[in-house]
Amino acid sequence: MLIVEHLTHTFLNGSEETTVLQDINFRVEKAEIVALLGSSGSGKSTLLNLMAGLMKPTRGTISIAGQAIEKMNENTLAEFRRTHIGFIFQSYELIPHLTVRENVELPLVFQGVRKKERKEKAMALLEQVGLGQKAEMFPSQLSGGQQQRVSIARSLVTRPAVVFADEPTGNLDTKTEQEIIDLILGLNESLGITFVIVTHEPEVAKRTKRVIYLRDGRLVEGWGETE
Amino acid sequence: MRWRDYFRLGWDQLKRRKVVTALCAIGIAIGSSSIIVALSFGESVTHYSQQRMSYYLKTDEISVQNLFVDNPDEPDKPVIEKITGQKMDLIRSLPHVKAVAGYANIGSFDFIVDEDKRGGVELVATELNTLTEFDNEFQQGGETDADNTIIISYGVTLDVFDEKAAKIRSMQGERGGRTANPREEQLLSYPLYQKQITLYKEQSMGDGTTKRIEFPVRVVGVLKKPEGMPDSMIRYQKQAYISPALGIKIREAMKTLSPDSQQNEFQEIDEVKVKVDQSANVPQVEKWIQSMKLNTNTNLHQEERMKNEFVIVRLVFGGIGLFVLFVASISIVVAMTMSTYQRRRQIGIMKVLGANLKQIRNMFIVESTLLGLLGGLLGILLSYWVIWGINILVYKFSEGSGGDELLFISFWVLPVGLFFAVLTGVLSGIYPAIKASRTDALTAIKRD
Repeated sequence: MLIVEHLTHTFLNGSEETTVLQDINFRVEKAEIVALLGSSGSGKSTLLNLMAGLMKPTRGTISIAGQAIEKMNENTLAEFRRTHIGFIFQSYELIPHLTVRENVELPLVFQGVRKKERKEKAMALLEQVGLGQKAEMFPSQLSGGQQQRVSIARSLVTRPAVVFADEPTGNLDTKTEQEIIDLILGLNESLGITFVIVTHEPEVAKRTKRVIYLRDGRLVEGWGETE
Repeated sequence: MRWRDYFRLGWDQLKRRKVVTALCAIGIAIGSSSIIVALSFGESVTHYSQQRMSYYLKTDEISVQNLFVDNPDEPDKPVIEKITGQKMDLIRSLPHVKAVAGYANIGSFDFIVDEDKRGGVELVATELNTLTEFDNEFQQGGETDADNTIIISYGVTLDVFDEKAAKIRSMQGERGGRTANPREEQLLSYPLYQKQITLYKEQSMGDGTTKRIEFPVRVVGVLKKPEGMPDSMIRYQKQAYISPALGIKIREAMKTLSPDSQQNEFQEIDEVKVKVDQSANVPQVEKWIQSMKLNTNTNLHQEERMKNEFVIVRLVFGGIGLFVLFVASISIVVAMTMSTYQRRRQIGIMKVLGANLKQIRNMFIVESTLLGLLGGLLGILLSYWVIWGINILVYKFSEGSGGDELLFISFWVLPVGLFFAVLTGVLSGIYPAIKASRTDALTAIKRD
């Protein structure tokens, strides 16, 4: 499903070259849920951005659903993201002037899906995340946890191959954090969609079946088995 | 992505930023209404002038006279191709011809009415029942078949000289030493309708005597005062119309005044006027009449000259409108570019969610197009108010003398105004749209 091979990423810091990721190799199987754990500056956000096609790697390959994304141009990548990738942001990033339902429908709008079909799909997902009753509300009328649920529903509406969640509980209190993780785990199981959750919180990582641990841009094998 | 969704998202954005939307729309509205008003102004003035031209210059009329053809045998005596009754009948049967009437200029006559009021007329003999067909309207009375009747222009009723009042004034002047022109003071606007007036002409004879001919006639009609013409001009329009039969009678009598004069060779008709349904058909009808060996005159060349002048007027007004629109478009570019910057994060999120460059670009262009459309619709409304306001001002300043409204908006001008407004929206949206589409998604979604 998701295959990362010999991924290295460097950037120029003035005249000095800094290596953020060094020869990363791992694969995530279909319907698997994986936590990408690491402290601040470990390179986990860079890895997420590379996997989501928002950055081009210096070396190595990233393959999602059999397609090498590092070779795609911007438009092809947009097309690919639209159909294969879902994204959950730490700050939810809902469009404030659109209703909850319209926010969930947005990726389908970019796909050119008809209104009726969009509405059906969005409503089904909103029911699944427990916000069916709040479909016509605006994001500002919802709590942080509810907004993140909307964001999760939006990431799944196109039935993507993989969903990348960037610190999905970073802005939430502990109770809501647990609810969101429960929701993601439940959706992973019920929908069979692959999830890659980037987090710096071991408690969140521990809830997943597998953890990929990054330290100083390198992959640390066996984390979780020994912790 | 469907166009309907582009429009919905664009409209949502406009609704969300009400103040900016309102300001930009007002800018475009002013620009497009300038174009609408400019074009309408140009068209209205052209239309008004054409109406006036048609009224004063009679561009839909053809004046037909005898044709003088060179005679190679006797160069001093050209051959005269005369207007005959047969030719007039033929002209009447031509397509587009509305009316035909013969005119004979009898000459200047003085008249006396109510014993001591005097005035002057230019007598024209014609079929009185054709007057209305040549755009003459009656203020009082109308056409009649009765003998010894006369129909006068409004100008004849002005400047009637009151002899009795003049004498009194003159006497007062001698006593009081007044210096004002006594004649000026005794000119009256005098009601002549249904009055019996006596037309007369005097001629000093060789033996020192004065010969006078008189024709009592009844004023059966007074023609309407010409619109938009000051009294100072109207007072010189002294035409009075009598029947051809009376015309012949007067001419016969005139022969006795100067038996030796060349004027004795009167013709029954000096010229024929032909009324055509519209000035566009005048050249064709004129051609047909010329083929009957008759001389023709029209005022069409005046209309052409005026038309050319009005093209320039329209261009000038249109140019002003375009300039205003250009200035207004700058406000859209600024507002949309600012909006691009403010919405960088949103654009970034949309890109992460799968929006491609084209979709982001189209979103912004549709938004600015909607802004243009909104401005254009407002512009139409605004231009109606402006035209309405100008008409009220014109009406007030002309003291309500005008009948129809001077300025009007033709239906074809509205799409033109709307087109320029939308075009402004589209063009102004291009730069912000390109800028928005080039927003780097990663940079945009990063939080400090």
